[in-house]
Amino acid sequence: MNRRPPTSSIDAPLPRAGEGICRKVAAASLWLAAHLPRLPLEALLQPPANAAVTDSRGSRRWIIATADNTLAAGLDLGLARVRRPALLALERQPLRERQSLETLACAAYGFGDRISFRVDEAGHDFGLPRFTLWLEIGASLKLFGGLQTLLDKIDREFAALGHSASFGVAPTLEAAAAIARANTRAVATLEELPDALAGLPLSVLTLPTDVLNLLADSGLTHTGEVLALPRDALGKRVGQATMNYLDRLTGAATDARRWYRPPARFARRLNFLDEIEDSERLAFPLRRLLGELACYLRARATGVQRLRLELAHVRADGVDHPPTAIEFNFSAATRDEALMLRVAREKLARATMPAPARSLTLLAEHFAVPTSSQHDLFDTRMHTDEEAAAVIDRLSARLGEQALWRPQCVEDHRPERAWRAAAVYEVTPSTTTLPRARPNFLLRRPQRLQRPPPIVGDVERIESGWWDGADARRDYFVCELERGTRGWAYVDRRDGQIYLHGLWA
Amino acid sequence: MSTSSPLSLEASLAARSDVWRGVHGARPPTEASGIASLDTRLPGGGWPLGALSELLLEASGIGELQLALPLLVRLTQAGRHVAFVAAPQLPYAPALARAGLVLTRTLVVDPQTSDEAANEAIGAAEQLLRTPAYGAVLAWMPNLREADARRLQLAAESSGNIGLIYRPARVAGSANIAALRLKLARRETRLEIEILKVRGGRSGARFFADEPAPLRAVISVDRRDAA
Repeated sequence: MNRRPPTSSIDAPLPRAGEGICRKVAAASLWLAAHLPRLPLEALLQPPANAAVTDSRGSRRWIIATADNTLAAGLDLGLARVRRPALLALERQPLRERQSLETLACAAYGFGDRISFRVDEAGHDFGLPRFTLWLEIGASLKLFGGLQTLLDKIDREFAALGHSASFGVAPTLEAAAAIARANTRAVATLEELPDALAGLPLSVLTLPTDVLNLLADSGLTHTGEVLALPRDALGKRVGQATMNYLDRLTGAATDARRWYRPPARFARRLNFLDEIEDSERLAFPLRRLLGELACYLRARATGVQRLRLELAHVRADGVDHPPTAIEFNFSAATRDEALMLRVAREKLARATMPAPARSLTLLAEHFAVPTSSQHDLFDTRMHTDEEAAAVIDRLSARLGEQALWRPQCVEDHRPERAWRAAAVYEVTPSTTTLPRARPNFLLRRPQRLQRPPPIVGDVERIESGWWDGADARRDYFVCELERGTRGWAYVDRRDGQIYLHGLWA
Repeated sequence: MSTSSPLSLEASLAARSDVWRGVHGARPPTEASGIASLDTRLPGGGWPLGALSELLLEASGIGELQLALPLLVRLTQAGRHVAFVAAPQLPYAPALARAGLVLTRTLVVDPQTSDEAANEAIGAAEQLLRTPAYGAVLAWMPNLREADARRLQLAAESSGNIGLIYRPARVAGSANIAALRLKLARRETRLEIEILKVRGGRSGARFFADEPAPLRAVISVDRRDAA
């Protein structure tokens, strides 16, 4: 599947913007197109070897991709079942297909920033949808050390995400796509383009079915023959839309598109082929979704601070169970896949599932740039901060977020309000004036003393809070308790009782 | 961070297990406690690194945290983290800030809401001790079984961190694997320290803790950091 176009013609120097023939188009762009024929299958979660993805229209249902490549795409499902009785037919999941394209677009962000993708649905029964992703590579060719190296890198990146593609390179988007589908050699300049297009079969072009039939009925088989026809005559037969397409194909017209930008929010759902009862088995879909998230985060050059997982359940015992939602924070923004996976698995292992799960959704909308690059070996302080954050994430996944906190000072005279348990992922340092001597330990709740203990040292009067209803009128003093314990106690001047509030630990 | 204290470099170096430092004789690597009367009596002059030190208390609230504060202050100001695990009361922010601790690098682990609080506390202490970022971990473990103590000891060894384990004085008779075991009690206004056991040194000394070295300079550094 991953045959690559030969690169001989690309070794010639690329034209610069505004040079020669390229002045006619906006700029001397060079486009890489990835043709993804197996995307409907690759978008699914772990399809078994006997799986086939089908498309349908009315009562017709046909195969568009099989896991083991044994049946021809376009084959009627009924016929396919005769040949392979054990075939597992799965409906296409257009939403997942689109999300997979988005993930690939995010992966492509590492190589250039003008990216676009498109799904061309088949215009007739038994036709195949086409998935194409484009990336402008003119600017990055040199950076990545030539076309072949760049293609290898992109291919590896796509393969790591579970996708296979054939690639085409040309100075126009549509020509690159046609070349990717035909799997022929790369073209560097507009001057070379007509020759390269001439030999392509019409089937690799993006033309409506009726136009393709019309051209075939006229005895035309190759692109060159169509492009050689008198323009006016052709236009009358095939219509303006097709003429516009041919102009974009040859570079006679510019191809204005909206470039892909990663959305402001990440939301992906994976439907399971079988229901999952055991949370251990959620690791696979989880890893897949987190891999897609990591890709998205790299494209946006940011990190995530908070994640939400949702498990949708099957209807069990006649009851519709609401989805199980699990939310958690990271102490520092991260895009470290391994860390996210570890924490999420720990969380899932602790969740109780009321019924088997049928899908997993991953949502992220709180982002922040990680405070340090994960590759900076020289800044040891950043390094230890990251280690410290990672262990906090593991612990809070295990113990719950409220079990971990940082002591923080608060500007208030009342001792119980002069501090707070700050969440570990908060970054605000406490800025406060330092008070008089205070005990190292504060009791969670003041404890009433039956007898007045011996007082050591001065009395400090604290009166505060009459404005917020937590009125305090107290006289604090250091006192001696049994076995050498030194306490911090106060007389509550409202009821005259003595309370222990702290320990001089 | 503009930590000008010469102790910071010393602290960061000393607390690293991957940096070999020439020492005279076979003295174990240590980090000064900052309590002069204690440091002069300990081999190597301070808390043993990569090991557990047990502090056995006659009662809570006798100055047991005060003994550890100079170490925590130096570590946090040098960019390292410290943790309190299963402390019996709330480590009080105003007092810690006043002592000079960098609170953004101070973690409190409070596993009391979970069912198996004691086990969770040991697990948490183990993970923190294992993490080089945490220069010191203070853990309150009244009932620490020997097998668990060994787990903690191994964790500390792997990172070179200091583990200070607070336990009641009644466990003093039990066997243990701690490198240092101190018994703490308040006599009048002062904290009395008795060295029950010390690896590579002589036990039996009983003395008073003197006040920690002045912290004024240290506090000004902390304020710059927080601002």
